[in-house]
Amino acid sequence: MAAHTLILPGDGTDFAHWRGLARWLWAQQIPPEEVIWLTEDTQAVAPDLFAPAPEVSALTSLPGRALTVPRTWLAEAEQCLLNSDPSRFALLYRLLWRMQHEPALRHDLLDADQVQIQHWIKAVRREVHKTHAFVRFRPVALDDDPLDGSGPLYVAWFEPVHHIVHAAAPFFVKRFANMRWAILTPQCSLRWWPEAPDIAALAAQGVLPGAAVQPLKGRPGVLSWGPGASAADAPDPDAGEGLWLTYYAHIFNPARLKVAAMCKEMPRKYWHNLPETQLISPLIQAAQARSAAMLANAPTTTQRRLPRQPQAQDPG
Amino acid sequence: MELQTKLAILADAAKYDASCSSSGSAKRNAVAGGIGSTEGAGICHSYTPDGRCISLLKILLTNFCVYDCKYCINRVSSNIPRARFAVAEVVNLTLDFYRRNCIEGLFLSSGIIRSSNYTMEQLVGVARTLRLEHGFKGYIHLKTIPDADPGLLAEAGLYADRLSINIELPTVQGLAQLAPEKSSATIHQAMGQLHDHIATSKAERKDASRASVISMPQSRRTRPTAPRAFAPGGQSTQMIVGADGADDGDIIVTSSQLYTGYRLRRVYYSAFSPIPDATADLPLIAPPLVREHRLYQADWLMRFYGFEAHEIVPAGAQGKRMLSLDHDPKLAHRERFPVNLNTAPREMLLRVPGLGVRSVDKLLAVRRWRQLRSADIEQLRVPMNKLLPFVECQGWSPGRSLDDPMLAAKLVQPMAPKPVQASLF
Repeated sequence: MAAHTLILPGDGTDFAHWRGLARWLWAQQIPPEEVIWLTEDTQAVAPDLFAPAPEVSALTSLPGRALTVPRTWLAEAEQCLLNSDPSRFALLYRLLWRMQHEPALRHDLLDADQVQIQHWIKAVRREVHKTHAFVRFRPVALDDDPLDGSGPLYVAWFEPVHHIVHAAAPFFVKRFANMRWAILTPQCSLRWWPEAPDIAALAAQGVLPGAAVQPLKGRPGVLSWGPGASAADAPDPDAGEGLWLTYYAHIFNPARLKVAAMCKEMPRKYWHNLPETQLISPLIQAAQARSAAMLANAPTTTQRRLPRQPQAQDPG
Repeated sequence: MELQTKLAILADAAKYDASCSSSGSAKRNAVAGGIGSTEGAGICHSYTPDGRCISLLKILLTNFCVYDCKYCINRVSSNIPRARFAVAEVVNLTLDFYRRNCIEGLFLSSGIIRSSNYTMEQLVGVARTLRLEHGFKGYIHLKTIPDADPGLLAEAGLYADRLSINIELPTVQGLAQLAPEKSSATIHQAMGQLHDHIATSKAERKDASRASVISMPQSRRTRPTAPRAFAPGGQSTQMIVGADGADDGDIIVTSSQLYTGYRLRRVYYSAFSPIPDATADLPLIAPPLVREHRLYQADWLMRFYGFEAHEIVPAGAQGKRMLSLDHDPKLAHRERFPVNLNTAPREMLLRVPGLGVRSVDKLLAVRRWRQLRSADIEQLRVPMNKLLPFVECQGWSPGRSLDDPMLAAKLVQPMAPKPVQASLF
């Protein structure tokens, strides 16, 4: 049945590559049920024993066959590939196939395939947003360097579920454009060099031209990326983090405990990399006693010397 | 006093302000210098176990206060410990938390010390230092003191993204009774001033962007810089729920007047919560969280669903207009249902329990091309038991289930307070 096995490079998020394969499949009129999509990364970890040998010589040029999709669909498909669900490649191709045969499908936002893809895209967008929210930097002392910048290096360790590290990076570049920072994840590590004039200048630092960009027009600054890291590479808590924990503990109002509301917006999967979450369970445990004490304690009379009642405002 | 102790006292003093929003401002970033950005939509960097988000560093400059507002933890007659931050301390704390990516910016408020003008000057000083000395591009929300000098209000708007003046209580009588030093008239007057500033600045910026630019051949097209925006995030306010006798009708009507009169971005409702060292004049009860939630739902219905204030709170027992604690405010009108998904207008679809703005827009988009069927309802991914009794479409009719006497019981939302076993401790 499944006559074609395709292996996408790396984690499979390279949209241009997927698009090329999809075009080739369409040109040969290979229906979606006959294709098995795999990625190099998953094959390396857990190879599919029953998958036939992949076709590598396949991408020869073929007579073009018109393939039309709405303009916005390309951007959506690119975002969908960032999801970590292994069936995304196949479903995207099936939708592409169906759109060629059912012209009205593109308007049908309640079609099951469309709904599934929108659901994946939503998960990606949500995780990008949560990355912007939950990445926590810790400062590490670092010598000033005219090619790099000055001040400490801010390092964060984060473990996303989807392949969103690159998609989340522009936010940090624009927000912390003048700060040296690095974000370490298991899949990929980012480093921002705020004063680097161009990529070539960082060759001595081990930055490869193919793994860096200079994203901001008219100013220095290079974003480079490299292989994944581990939690041990990230710095330990410093003294300044204590102030943040103090703030967290004291902005909490024990009289209005709503743990479910908290967990909905800050899911437990993010907790182990957020320093303040160590306070959650002691705060919850003490909350009832604290609010009961507030209710039980009799109102006190003031022990302060009160200022005179303010007089009528100045007559002017 | 140590910084950590001050932070503890002044965060404790600030937590009864509900607002923590960092959304709705102009877009800025640090590409041209400085630090920070705002993106339009806010970001919540953390959540505390009370279910509230931490988006901004929300602190008081000082919790010394000469006012004696009964509901407030910082009133002059309270015996809580007091502290005061120096301007530089707030600035450094904000920048340090910001670099750690813990916050979107600062929400600064203060007790009234010496005079309104002196206090306001200190607040503005913090914002000015952050913006001008450190090039801070993050979000700044300043609590404004209503009887401060209008010149200070005008300056505050140049640095802050959002300004707010708390109306505190929904009725004039409530305010006179519980906050004797505050005046409803002054609060409204200051809100009016802010509204004028915001509207004028918006109009000026619109004109500036509309002016046509004529450039010589091969010269760079330059556009005169637009005047600085005044509080681009608008103004908001807060009302305390459950400290005085006002009913939900009063609250909703007051909010609706504030939304239309002063174009407020948000009215926050804060359930009156027990505070340490409370006064004997106020009932100390568990905070009415469900009531607060219903008010937010009602507020949402007015702002995004086109509901009118009178439509949401019908007069109830003893002339009290209260929202039902058990049910969604959308359920107030039986006679409107069932609604046909294929033919009903947008306004009607928005009034169906369980359908939000996005679901309604999806339904409208799809039904331009084909009939909606019962299978489509499932694809909406909304709570079925909540929605099904109220709608009909091809292949689905609720039949008599709308008149099922058990329906009301089935639709009770689990958030209504449940009986709890008494605690052993």
